[in-house]
Amino acid sequence: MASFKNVNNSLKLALRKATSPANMRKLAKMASDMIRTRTRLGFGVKTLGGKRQKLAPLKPSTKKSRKANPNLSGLTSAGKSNLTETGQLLDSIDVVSVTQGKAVVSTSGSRKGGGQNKEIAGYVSVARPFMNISDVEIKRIEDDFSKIVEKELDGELNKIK
Amino acid sequence: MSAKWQKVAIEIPKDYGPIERKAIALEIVDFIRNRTQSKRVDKDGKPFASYSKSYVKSLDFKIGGKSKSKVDLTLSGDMLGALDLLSHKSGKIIVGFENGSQENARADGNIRGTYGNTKPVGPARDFLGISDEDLTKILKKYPVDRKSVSERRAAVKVAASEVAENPVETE
Repeated sequence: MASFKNVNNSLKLALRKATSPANMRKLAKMASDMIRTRTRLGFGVKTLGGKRQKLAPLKPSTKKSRKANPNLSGLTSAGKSNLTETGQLLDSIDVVSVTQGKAVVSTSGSRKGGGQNKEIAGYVSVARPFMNISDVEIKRIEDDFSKIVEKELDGELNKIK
Repeated sequence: MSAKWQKVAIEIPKDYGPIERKAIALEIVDFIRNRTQSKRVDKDGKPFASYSKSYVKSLDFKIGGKSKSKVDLTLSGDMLGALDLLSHKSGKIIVGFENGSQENARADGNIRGTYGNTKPVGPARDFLGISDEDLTKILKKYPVDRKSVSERRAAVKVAASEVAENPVETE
């Protein structure tokens, strides 16, 4: 019969395995893809766990200049407010660091034509915050993470039957 | 215009306790998601109607990286991601969407073919439900005549879902 100490050790080990750098990277990649797709669809998130909201519309003058821009990304249109012009900003969203139990997602890298994506992200986020995770996106990450935890927990508990 | 609250009540044996009911609900939600996204069939096992030509040509379709041959009710993934256990009691679990949410509105549009309108304007793609046969397969993992097996399985599943809560913070 399994002792409390054995069960406790198994739980700790299962959690450690579930939060390995490899698993953290997988969840963080999911988060970065979610942010990228959601923003390209025209939605931002003001605060962590908030509802997704349509990004503020573009000014008429901005739409006009975008219409005349031959290099406008195929993932936007002149009138669509989705933080996409060349595509560099959202393409740069990625997992920037991974450790046991933690992964960080951010914009990164320099831009063709000068400047850093992180600077641009900070600037555009004032009116159109996007580098957050919504309530539903958090739930999606939780659901995937719980499957990882369940698999590890089941595996460790089976060893001490 | 307000969408209809989309939820479905599923009857299960009264032998199950609260933890088992939660675990079974998690399995049902997962099953519905996988059936919709991978098998691409509705609650009765029928393939979903094709996407409209206008939707296939739309910018959102391109942004979502979608394929017209794969009707999986997934653009951002939020609608199916939001499907959840709403409530449970002895003999019954209710899964569906938060009333009044954007995801409920999208689900309602798909289920009734209304797509944001008061009346149907396109084909209904009703994914919210589970056949008796599929439910039986899930319930077999929680045998009522072998309580220790059922309760252990349920405990692991529910514990994992609770451990996994709040994994995200801002820096």
